[in-house]
Amino acid sequence: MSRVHYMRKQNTALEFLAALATTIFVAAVCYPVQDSIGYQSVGLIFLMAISILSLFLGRAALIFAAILNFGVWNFFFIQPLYTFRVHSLHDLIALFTNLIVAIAASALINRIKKSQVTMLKSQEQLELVHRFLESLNDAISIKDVVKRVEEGIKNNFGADVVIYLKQKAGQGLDQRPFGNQDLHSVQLLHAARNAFINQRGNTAETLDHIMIYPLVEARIPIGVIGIKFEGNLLPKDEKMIFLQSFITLIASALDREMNIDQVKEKEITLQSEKLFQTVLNSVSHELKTPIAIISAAVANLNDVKTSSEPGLRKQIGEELEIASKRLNHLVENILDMSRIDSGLLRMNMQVCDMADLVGVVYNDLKIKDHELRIEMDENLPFIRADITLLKQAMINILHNAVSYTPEKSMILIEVRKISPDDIAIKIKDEGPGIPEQFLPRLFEKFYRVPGTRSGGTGLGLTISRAIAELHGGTVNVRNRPEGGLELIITLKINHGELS
Amino acid sequence: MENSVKYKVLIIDDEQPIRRLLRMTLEANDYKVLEEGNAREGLLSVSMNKPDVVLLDLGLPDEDGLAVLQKLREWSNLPIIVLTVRDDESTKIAALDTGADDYVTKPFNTGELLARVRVAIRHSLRLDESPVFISGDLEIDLNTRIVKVNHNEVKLTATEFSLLTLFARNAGKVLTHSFISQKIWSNPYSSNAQILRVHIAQLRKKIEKNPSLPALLITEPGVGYRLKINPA
Repeated sequence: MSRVHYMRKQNTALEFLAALATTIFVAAVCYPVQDSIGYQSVGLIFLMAISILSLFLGRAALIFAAILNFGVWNFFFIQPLYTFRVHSLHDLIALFTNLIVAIAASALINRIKKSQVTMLKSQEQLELVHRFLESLNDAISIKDVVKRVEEGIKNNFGADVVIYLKQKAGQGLDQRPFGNQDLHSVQLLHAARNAFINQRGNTAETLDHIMIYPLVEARIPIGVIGIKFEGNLLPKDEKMIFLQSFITLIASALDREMNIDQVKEKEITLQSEKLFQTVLNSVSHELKTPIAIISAAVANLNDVKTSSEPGLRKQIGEELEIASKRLNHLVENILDMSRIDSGLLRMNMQVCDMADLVGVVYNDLKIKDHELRIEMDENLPFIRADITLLKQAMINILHNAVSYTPEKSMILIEVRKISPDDIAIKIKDEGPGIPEQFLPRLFEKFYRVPGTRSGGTGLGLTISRAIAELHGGTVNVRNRPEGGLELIITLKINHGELS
Repeated sequence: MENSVKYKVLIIDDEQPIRRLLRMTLEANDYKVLEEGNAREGLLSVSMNKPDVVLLDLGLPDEDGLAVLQKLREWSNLPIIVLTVRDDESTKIAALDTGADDYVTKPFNTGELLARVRVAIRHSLRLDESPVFISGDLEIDLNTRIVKVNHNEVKLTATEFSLLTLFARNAGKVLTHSFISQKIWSNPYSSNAQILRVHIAQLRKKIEKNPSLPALLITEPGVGYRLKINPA
């Protein structure tokens, strides 16, 4: 549009020049022969020149040409010569006819031209609408749609946009504004809510020069758009229609994204509900078992028959100890997991001697029913780590090894420098291993290998891996070719600067 | 325990079941037990009753435990053992730096708690000022500077000997990394962290039966080291 406009402006000066040149030319040709052809013929020639000019010139230049012709003809050809006076009525009518024909012709020609320009414009607009549609189709979220809408409206109308969408649950309009937040105000929201409820088709209301349109898709209102034009100038009819087509596209794009959002949300809710159920089942069972043991043991202690026998009493005491340890382990795992999940875990990075780490783990775990062997490379480098966390990572793995392998079988802890940058802590057992198809899921939160006996929340290895990753390391698992399971914690030697 | 005089232990903890349990345990081991449920009354009780040991819970309802600790330390040298929940090294270190003698983590093992109380009383009353320290197979004569393991003399470097003496003088107590660095190198900063670990590792090789599974010189992860008095 602007291009068309620009072209015309440039031509105006040329058109006036052409009008002037033509008039001078006609006058110059006719002047010497006016006596033989008569001044009326000269008038007709001028009229002819105007008719021809009207094919090429705009209205202003044409009227200019008509007036110029009128003047020149009057001055040089009509009695009394060389004055602008006219004596006969006859001549006066001829003069005005000339002028009116010029104006009428120019109006006619201009109308034709204008319809040409409109055609050109609407073609151009069609292309712009199409481009806008394509851009909206590429949008991947509500926010993205709004971003593209802002761009499109800015580029095509020089206007700013604010959008309110309908509430996810409920009937009304959500108060959160999308798009240009500066346009948002309580009054605007109020007006938008009115427009949303009343849904006045395509008629717009305005508030503070912001035009308010309901966004309707498939006859269902999905929101309201507010548009503020530059300089507060509302566009003309023709451009308004252009804007309408944009708004229709905006409504359908937003509707699409809102539907996708809804589906996604449902899926997430469904998944988290399922996860919650799993967690609840496993955690409640795990919590209740030791509590059941504790209350049974206490009942036994209160019963004279059982508590008076030293052997039985000792047994009860042992049961109590095991149950409370199990409860504690469980609670710590849940706390660790939530600390890691919340991202609030503060790492206490210190110089860490691997021998120290293994010693601490050994002291904490007090493995009784298994044979524990430790093999460490000589002169392992110190690493920078949070020793308490690493201890927890190892204990969780060893806890599994102890729980799921036969008594008296061997558990081997190996610490090796496997490359200039990495240290590996390998924990190997002689148990039955884990069927290959379950290995990939072993580190998933709350995952428990099917068919394993109760005792465990499915959090231990998840925590171990999270801790290793906090140290820039990994945990991997494999079945050993010679039988049993092997878990490998790999740690970076130079994770963080050594002080 | 051959307590001719009963030592007084003051428990400052807002959880009544914990206080009851501690009372049960301590009274069974011949301690006299006092208890308070908040910081204000706890502080008052310390000045009124002059206990021999204070067991101070850091999670008190009316005041931060560390602040209570600081107030107590302004005018009293009595041994204070801090009760903390879970492994929170920074809190432990903060408590030790503020002047706590030791800490016990809830849920605690009563045997461990009693051992800490015994150590604290012994240190405050200077019951073990003897020049010879014996723990398990380890024997240190501070006068002659001779260290024996399983009756065989072991050669220690000067630094190793200083370290071991420091531990022996504070036997049973946890010593933080920065405390040790301060005592040995007069520098509490972590630039010595790596050196300290090297010396500890060397020392373990000389005094431990199995250096990779130390029984005497125990690591308190994230906090420091402790020389055990009676290793299992």
